[in-house]
Amino acid sequence: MTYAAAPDVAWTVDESTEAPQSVLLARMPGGEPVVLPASAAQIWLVALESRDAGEVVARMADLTGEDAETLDAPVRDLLDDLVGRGLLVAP
Amino acid sequence: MDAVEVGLQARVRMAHATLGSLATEHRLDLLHVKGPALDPALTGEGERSSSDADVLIRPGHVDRLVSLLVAHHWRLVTGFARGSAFEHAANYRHPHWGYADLHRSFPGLTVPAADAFDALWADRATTRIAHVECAVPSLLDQGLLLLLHAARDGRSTRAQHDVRRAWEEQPASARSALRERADGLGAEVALAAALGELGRHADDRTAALWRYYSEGGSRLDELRARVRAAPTPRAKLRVAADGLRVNPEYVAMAIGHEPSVAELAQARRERRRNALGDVRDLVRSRLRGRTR
Repeated sequence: MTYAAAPDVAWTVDESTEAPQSVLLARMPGGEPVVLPASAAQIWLVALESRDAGEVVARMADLTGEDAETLDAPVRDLLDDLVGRGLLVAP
Repeated sequence: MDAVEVGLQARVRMAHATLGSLATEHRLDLLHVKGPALDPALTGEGERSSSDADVLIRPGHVDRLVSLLVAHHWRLVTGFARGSAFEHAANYRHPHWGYADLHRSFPGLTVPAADAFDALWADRATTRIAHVECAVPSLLDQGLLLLLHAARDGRSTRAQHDVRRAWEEQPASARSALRERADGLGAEVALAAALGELGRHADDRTAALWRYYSEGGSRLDELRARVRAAPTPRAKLRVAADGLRVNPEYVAMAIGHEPSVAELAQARRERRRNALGDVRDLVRSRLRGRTR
């Protein structure tokens, strides 16, 4: 079981931007758009393949070369925010 | 609401997702056509880029969908009556997701629109656009619609590419199935226009109109073809009268704001001048023909 986009959320990668690309998402059918730029977009994509916040942090540390301890708080904050806004469902 | 700064193709996908979600939530029958809804097997190029989200709505569901669009901040840009000679689509714009073309029929399918939709809907498939499940025509019907659309834009590179992918590169069995499907939906003439076979349908009242769309021509050619294609004397009169009328929505799009009375009057003068120019060219060419 991994994180998942909420059932009423549409999302897509905006390939018009430079890599790392941003992610555009919104609750359907009338939700306000949310743009996750660069790192936040990576966290979204990694979360959809991760079983908990700790795994997201570890994978992001691997991807970015940053220290996991440094990433821990901002990654968890973003995940909590996305879950709180009904965009992401925690495992 | 302000527009979000994102790429056009991402916005188009989100527009499809929004329309698909609305349709599902309110049990409306909606088929997503063209752009990201197209099967890559037909485009041969991954996702097809598009400037707007094209959808075909069951004709009996048009009013309900229009009400929902308005309630969700979509604003009418061009109404059905003003959209094209076929009066088949209305154009809406959303502050975030951009443009959507709402089709109530598909040009080239001449059976009643409700019957055509029934046939397309009965064979529908699904695809995911922006991770939202959307109903799309079957692969066969996508191929036919792609060809009919190419028939209206026969000189463009994209139309030529589409005819190559959806027809020339298809095996004989697929071509046969496409012709059979076109026959069943009354699309023989439009398909012939896409395939350069209009000569087989010279007596059809719509042949000249399809020739104009597939090969081009003057404004007068278009007007004559539209009059000929109109099914009744009354419809012919209406087409002829509309032919010289200026569409305020087009003027607004061209100049980027609502036209003033003076700007509309200017547009009318130019339209009449263009039409008269076409008539003068026609008379001159006929006179030249007689004096040779």
